[in-house]
Amino acid sequence: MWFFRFFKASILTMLRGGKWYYLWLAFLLGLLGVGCLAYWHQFTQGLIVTGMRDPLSWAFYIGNFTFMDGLAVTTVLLVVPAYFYDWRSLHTPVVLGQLLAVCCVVMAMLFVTVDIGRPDRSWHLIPWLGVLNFPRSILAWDISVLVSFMALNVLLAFYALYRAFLGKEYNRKILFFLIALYVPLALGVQTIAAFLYVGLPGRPYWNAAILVPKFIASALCAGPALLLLILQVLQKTHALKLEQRVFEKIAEWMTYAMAATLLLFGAEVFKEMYSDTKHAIHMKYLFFGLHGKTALVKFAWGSLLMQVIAFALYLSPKLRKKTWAMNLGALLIYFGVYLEKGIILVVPAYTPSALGIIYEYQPSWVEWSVSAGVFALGFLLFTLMVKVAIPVMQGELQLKHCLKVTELPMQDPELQQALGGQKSAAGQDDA
Amino acid sequence: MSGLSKQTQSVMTPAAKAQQARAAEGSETKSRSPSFSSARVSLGTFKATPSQGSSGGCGGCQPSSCGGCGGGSNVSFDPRLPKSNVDPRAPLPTAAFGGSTLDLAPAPSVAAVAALSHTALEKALGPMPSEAQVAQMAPWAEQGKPQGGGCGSGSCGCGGGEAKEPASVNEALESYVTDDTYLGDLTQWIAPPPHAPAASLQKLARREFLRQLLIGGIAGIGLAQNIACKPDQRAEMVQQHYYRLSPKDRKEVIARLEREYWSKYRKNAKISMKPAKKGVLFGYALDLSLCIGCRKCVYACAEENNLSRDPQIHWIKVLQMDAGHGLDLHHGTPFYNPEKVPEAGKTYVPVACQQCADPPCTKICPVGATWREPDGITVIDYNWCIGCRYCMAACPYDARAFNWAEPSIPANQLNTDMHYLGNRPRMKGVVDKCTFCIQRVRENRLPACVESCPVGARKFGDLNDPNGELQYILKKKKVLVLKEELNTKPQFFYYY
Ligand code: SF4
Ligand code: SF4
Repeated sequence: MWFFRFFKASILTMLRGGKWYYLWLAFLLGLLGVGCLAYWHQFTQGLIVTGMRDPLSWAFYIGNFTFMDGLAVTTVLLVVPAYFYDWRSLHTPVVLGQLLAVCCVVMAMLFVTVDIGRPDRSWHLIPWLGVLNFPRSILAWDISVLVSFMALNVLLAFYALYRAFLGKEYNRKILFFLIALYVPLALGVQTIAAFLYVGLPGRPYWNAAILVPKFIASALCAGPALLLLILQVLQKTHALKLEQRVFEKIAEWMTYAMAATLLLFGAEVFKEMYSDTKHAIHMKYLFFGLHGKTALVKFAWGSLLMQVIAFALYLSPKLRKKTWAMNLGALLIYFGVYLEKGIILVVPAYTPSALGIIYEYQPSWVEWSVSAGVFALGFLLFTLMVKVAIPVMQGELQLKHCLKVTELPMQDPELQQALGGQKSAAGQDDA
Repeated sequence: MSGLSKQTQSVMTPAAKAQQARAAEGSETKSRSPSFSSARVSLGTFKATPSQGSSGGCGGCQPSSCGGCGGGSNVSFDPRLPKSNVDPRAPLPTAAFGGSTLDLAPAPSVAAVAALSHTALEKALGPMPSEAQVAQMAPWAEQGKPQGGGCGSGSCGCGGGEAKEPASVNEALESYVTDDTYLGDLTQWIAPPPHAPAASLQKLARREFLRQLLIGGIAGIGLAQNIACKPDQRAEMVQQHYYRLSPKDRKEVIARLEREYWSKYRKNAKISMKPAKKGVLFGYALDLSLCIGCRKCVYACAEENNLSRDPQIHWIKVLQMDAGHGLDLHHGTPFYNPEKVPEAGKTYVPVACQQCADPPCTKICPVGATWREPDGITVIDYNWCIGCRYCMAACPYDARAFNWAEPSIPANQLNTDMHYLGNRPRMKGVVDKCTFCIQRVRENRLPACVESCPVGARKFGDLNDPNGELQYILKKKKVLVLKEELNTKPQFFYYY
C-alpha cells in the first residue's frame, strides 16, 4: 500500500509554498494564538469573562456552532449530480466541499467546547466511559450525527483523494453506497441542529416546527455561497481549473434555497405578528426593541436586507452570471445568514427571559477573540488540506511523481498502466 | 386558613425560639459583610429553630403521628411576624398583603461581574490539616451512619433506610429507586442492570477498573500540565456519575469533599448522601395574597444553600408585578428597591425551581447529570455536570443558575450541614438550582425559605400525605401553577 507515500507527499506539499502562502499561514497562526490566549483567560476565570449571564445563558458561541453546523452540509447539493450523474467537473468542488465540511464540523465542535463550563469533563460524553444520554437528549443526538457525518466526510474525501493520488478510477459501488448514506445524514445534521432548539417548550421563539425547514434552506444558501467564493479564490491562488458552468449551476441552486428561506421567514413573521400573542414579544424585541432596548434591531434589519438584496441579484439568470453580481450576492447571503444564525437565532429567545427579564447582550472581547481563534483554526486546516487536494485532484501530484525508478510497482498491472508512458517523470522523489 | 394556623401553632412556637437564636447569633451578625447586612438582621433568625435535629429527634416529627415526618407536613410555621422585624413607623398594613410591611433585602444584581478576591479568605485560613484532623473529618464515612442522629427508634421509620450501609451496588440502587417513573430512563442508561448476579458484578468491577484507567489517561493528557496532580484532584477528575458510585466510592467521595472543604474553609462539613424515603413526594405551596416581597427567603436560601455571594447567585427570584396583571411574567421584575415593602399597586410572585413532575430540564441533559429523585426533587450531580447550560435553555422558569466564576462564600458563613446533591459548595462552570433544601427535608426539617418567611406565605410538605397541609391546601384553596400550558406539572403550587 502507498498510504505512507501519500502522507509524506501531503506533508511536504503543505510545507512548500510562496511568500503569500506563508504570510497567510502566519496570519492564521497569529489569530489562533490570540484565540488561545483569550481562551486561557476564559478557562481560568470562568465564563464570567463572556457577555453571557443567567437570563441569557447561550449566545454567540452557540450561534456560531449552529452556523457551522449549517455550512457543513453544503456539499449535499453537489454530491448527487457529481457522482450519480457523473458530472466530472464537479468532482473537485465536491472534494473541496467535503474538506470544508470537515473543517466546519471541527469548528462546530470547538464552538461547543469553548462554550461549556467544564471542558475538562468532556469525557463524560463518551458512552460507557461516561454517560451519553442517548436517545433522550437531543444534544446527544447532535453529537452522534456530527461525529458520524464528519467521519463520512473524511472517508469520502480521503477515498477520492487517495484514488486520484494513485491515478486510479474510484470504485463506483463503494462511492454510491457512501453517497446514499451521505445525503440523509447531511439533512439529519441540519434537522437535529434545529431540533436542539425546537424541542424546548419553555422558549416559544424556538418552539416552532418551521425552524427545521428554515435551517435546511438557509444552510443551503450560506454554504454554497462560501464555496463559490472559496472556489474563485482558489482559482487565483492554486491554479484551480473549473468550468464557468459549475459556478452558474451552484448559483442557480442557491437561488431556490434563498427563495425558500425568505418564504419560510415570511411565514414565521406572519404567524407571530398577525396572531400577536404573548409569544410575539421576542420577535418584537428583535425588530423593534423593547422598552428602549434595541441592541438587536440593526442586526435584524441588516440581515433581512442582505438576504433580500442577494435574492434580488440572483433572481435574474442573466445578472447572476455576471461575476460581480454573483460575488456580491454570495457575500451578502453569507453574512446575512451568519448574522441570522450567530445572533438572531439565539439571543432573542432569551430576551425577555423566561421570567421576563430583559438582559441586553453584547459579546465580550474574549468571545470575539476566541471565536476568531476557532475560525482561524478551521481556515488553517482547510488551507493545508486544500494545498494537497487541488494538485492531487488535477493529477499534478500523484504517486508516479514521488517514486524512484527502482520502486516502480511491478506486481500491480492497473497501477503500471496508470503510470505508463510517464516513467521519465518518475525519477524525481520529493524526499 | 384559621383552622390551619391553629393546628400549626400547637406544633411550634418559633417566635420564642427565634429570639433565642438571635441572641446566640448576635455577634456573628455584626461581623458579616456590609452588602448583606441589611438582610442579615432577620436572616438566620430561624436558622437554629429545628434544633431537635441535632438532639436526636427527627426534626419535629411527633412520635404519635410519625407519618408526617417525611415531609414535616405536620410541622408548619407560625405566620405571625417576629416583632423586631416590623418597622413601627410603617404605614398601616393592608390586609391584602398579610398585614405588615418590612425592610427590603437588596435586589440581586443581574451581572455581578466583580473580579473575585480570595485574599480575605486566604488570610482566614490556617495551616494545612494534619493527618489526624483529616481522619476526623469524615465522621459519616467512618461510622457509616448519617449525621444528625436520625430517629433510630425504628418505629418511626425516619432515616431508617440509611441506618445500614447498602451492601452492594444493586442494593444501593434499589434503596434509591422507589418508583421507576420518576427516574425515567436515567437508570437504564447510567446504572448497571438492577439484578446482576455476583459474577457479573465482578466483571463490572473489572470493567470499572478499565474505565478508570481510560478516563485517567484522557484526563491526564489535558490537565497534568497545569494541575500538580494531587491524589484528590486526580480522584475528582475521574469520579464517576452519582449512580455509578459503589458504597465504597461514596465513602471516598465524601471523605475527599470534606477534606477539600476543610482546606478551603477550615470547617468540618458533614456531607450526606441520604436517599429519598419511599412513598414521600415533596410539594410546596405559596400563598400569593400573603407574600409582601421582602426577600427574606431569597437571602435565607443563599445562606442555607451556600450560594455564591460574589458573583451573586440566587435560587429564588421574587418578581414584583404590576397590580392588575396577575401572573403575566412580562410585567414582573426582580429588580425593585423601595425603602419599604409592600408597595401600593404591586404584588409579588416568588419563583424558584418548580420541581416539575415532568421536567424539561432533565431529559435534555446530554450526560444525565440532572434527574428527578423518587421524592420529586430534581437534583444535579455537580461533579458530573459539564456546564453546557442546555438545561437552562430548557427550564421555562429560569430556575437554574450557572456558576460563571469560581463561587465565593465567606468561610464563616459556610453551612456545614450538606447534602451531596444539594447545598455543598459548587465549583465554577456548573449549574445549580433549588433542591427544596434536600439536606433539610430528607432529615425531616423544613426548607430554609419556609422558616424564614415572616408572613407564613410558604408551606411545605408531603403531597402523598392525605392529612398533610399540602393536601389541605390543594383541596380547599384556589390553586394554580405557573405556565400550566407547558405541561411540566410543577409540584410548586401558588394559591390565594
Ligand atoms: S422548574 Fe426548571 S429546573 Fe426546576 S424542575 Fe422544572 S424545568 Fe427543571
Ligand atoms: S449544564 Fe450540566 S446539568 Fe445542565 S444540561 Fe448541561 S451537563 Fe446537564
